[in-house]
Amino acid sequence: MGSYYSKSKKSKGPDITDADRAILSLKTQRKKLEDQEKLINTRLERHGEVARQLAAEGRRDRALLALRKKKLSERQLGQLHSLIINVEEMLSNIESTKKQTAVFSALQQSNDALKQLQAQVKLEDVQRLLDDTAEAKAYQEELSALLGEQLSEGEDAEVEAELAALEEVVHDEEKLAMPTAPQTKVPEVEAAMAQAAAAAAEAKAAAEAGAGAAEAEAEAEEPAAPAEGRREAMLAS
Amino acid sequence: MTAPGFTFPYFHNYPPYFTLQPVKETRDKQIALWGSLVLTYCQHTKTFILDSQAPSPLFVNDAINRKLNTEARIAVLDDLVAQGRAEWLDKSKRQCLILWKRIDEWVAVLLDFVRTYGLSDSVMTLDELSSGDDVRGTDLYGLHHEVLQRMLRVLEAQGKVRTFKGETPGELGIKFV
Repeated sequence: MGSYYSKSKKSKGPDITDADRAILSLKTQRKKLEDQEKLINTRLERHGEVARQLAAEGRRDRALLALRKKKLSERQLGQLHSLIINVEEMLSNIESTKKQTAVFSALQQSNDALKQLQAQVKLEDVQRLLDDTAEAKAYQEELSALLGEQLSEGEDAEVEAELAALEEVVHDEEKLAMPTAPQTKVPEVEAAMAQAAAAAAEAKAAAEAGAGAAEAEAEAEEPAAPAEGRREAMLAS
Repeated sequence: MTAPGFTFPYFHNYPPYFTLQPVKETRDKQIALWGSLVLTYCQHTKTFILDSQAPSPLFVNDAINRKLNTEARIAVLDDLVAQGRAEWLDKSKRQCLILWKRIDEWVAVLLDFVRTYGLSDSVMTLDELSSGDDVRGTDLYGLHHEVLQRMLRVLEAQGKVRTFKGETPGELGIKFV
């Protein structure tokens, strides 16, 4: 040992705290206790050995004394063990408290940092910002409501016009599809009808015979035929 | 001091090796052989302090009735000291600290131990580092205090460790960074 320990005071490295010194002295104590434990253990063995020897020699009193000494040593050993456990307990307490303190200071530091960060954003600023946003939102809503109304007015007109057009178309169709039927039966007309039907059938036959060239003609004729037929049926009823 | 399980090299059975050779070249080779034998033997038996006078089986071979004399032993150990693998502990060259691991190698072992056991920021004692429950089963177990103190000196110079005295002399706390 020598000067280098004293020199170490100036050297860099971790700081030695009171807790460190306490740990050192506890550990030294523990070492001493363990040494004593060894001593007592050997003493125990020796007492036992001596007692056995004395008993073999028949010296009861001395053997008894040795056994009493052994008992005493056993009790001492028990005390020693509880002492060692106490020291260990204290050591672990110090260690965990040390860790807790470190954690606490870290938490405190981060809390400070958090506060600092929070201080950068003032509450009234946030309130104002939110108010501004709300205003802007309200304005936007108003605007879109206005625009939406105008838009739907225009649309309404369009829809109205479309509906009118549709109704007109339907009306026209109805007019086309349903001609007013005559109320009275006219024989001349009936005869003309029969003639017309015959002519249609004839035309159809001619178209079928004429095939290719006459096809266009037949096609022109054909739609007329059912219309004619329908009129005929109506007349029959 | 016996060495179960240790096999001596071939030259340990040759009588001429037990006498210092007069020719320098042969003598250098002889000393080098003995030096490496000392290191491997001490590592095997975990011997840190070698007594140059003791009748160790290292220097004595009864089977061929030969032993290395003190002068030769000191020559061998002097050679190791010159290589940095040994250190005389007294002026009379009797006690010799054998460093079968160099100090920096030992330091690496210790730092590795500190890292694996997460001992940074905790206080240890010399006894704990050399014979405590924590080092049981590691290379550090049984480490001689002389070696340990040399290691601490190196570590302290590097700022990796801080030692402090306790209330009673002989009490030394070691705090790792």
